[in-house]
Amino acid sequence: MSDRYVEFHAKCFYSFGEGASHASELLTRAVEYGQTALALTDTNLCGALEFANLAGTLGLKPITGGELTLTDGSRITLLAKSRAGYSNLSQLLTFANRSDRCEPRLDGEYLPEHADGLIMLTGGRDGRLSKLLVEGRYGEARKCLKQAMDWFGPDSVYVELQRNLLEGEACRNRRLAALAGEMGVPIVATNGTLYHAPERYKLQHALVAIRNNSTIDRSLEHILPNDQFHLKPGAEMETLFADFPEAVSNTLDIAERCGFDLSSDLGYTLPEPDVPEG
Amino acid sequence: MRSLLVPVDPLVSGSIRPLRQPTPVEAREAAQVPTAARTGSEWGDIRRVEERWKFDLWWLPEPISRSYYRVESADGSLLTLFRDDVSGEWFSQAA
Repeated sequence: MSDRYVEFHAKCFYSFGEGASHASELLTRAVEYGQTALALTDTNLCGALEFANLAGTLGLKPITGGELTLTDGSRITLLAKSRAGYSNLSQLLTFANRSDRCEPRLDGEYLPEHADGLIMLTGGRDGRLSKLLVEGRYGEARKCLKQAMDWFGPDSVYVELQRNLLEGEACRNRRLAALAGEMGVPIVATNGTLYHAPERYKLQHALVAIRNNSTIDRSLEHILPNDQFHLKPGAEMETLFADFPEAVSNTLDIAERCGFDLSSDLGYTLPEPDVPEG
Repeated sequence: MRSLLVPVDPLVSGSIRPLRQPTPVEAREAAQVPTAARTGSEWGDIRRVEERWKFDLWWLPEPISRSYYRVESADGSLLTLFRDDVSGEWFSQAA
């Protein structure tokens, strides 16, 4: 029986210093859970083709996405619905990397012109929307969400809820869901997945420390201090989001809408040059 | 999480003492979630868990691993309880 959840915010080793599993480990675990699709949303597209090819061999629908950090430090999650979306995602990542190869930052001014074919998730706890709502800046939060709807289209923006057993999530999710309801924007649950299995969390902490050129105990502000960032089965997500059931069920709708498969839909054809005989 | 009280007069004996130390409590639990707690002499039922969170500072010489629960008791008061995931003991943490 198919699982009733699809993860749309997952990173692998290619998100250097963040993801602590190989794409194949994420995919294998998703198959074990009976999930029908999985999105890879690294901070680059280094693993995207390998991920798509592997997913195909496992009978899983690969969804190509990415996580972008904006110049204000907030993050958004983008998913390619179509080839045009993949093209725009690639360009946005290029723009971000052009600013700084080590710490890519995207100027939000690029988004309106490159939103076609993409679904935007508001970025979970690291999204601007979350930060504004946690600070009680409701007016700015409404503007922020309205702007995203204008850019990506009202049916291509989802307010992203995350519940990884960190303090403050209950209040944040309540505010996010309330704003989403007020503005008619659907909500979606993601787990901000960084590894395929809970036991990988210590490695993830070590990678964060390495990225910060420091030790784990001196990287506390960057460390997510528990083992709850692993790929989770639908039943666990439904329990975590018992108060927002549609946040989990909406993942299946998004999976339906993402029709782009990087392993087959690029449409590249190799040139066939005239080669003289001999 | 832990606070220290430091009096203005540094000559006062015992001038530094911790504030808001966790208090050991007894708790009944189901599936590792508290259902009742005894903070004084009487048991009080827990009506609902408002929020839970956990952290695991595994790299410390003496690792700290705790599961916190902000709960509403049957009389409507809010409590913060945590289970020490190393020892299995329960504590109440003042806000």
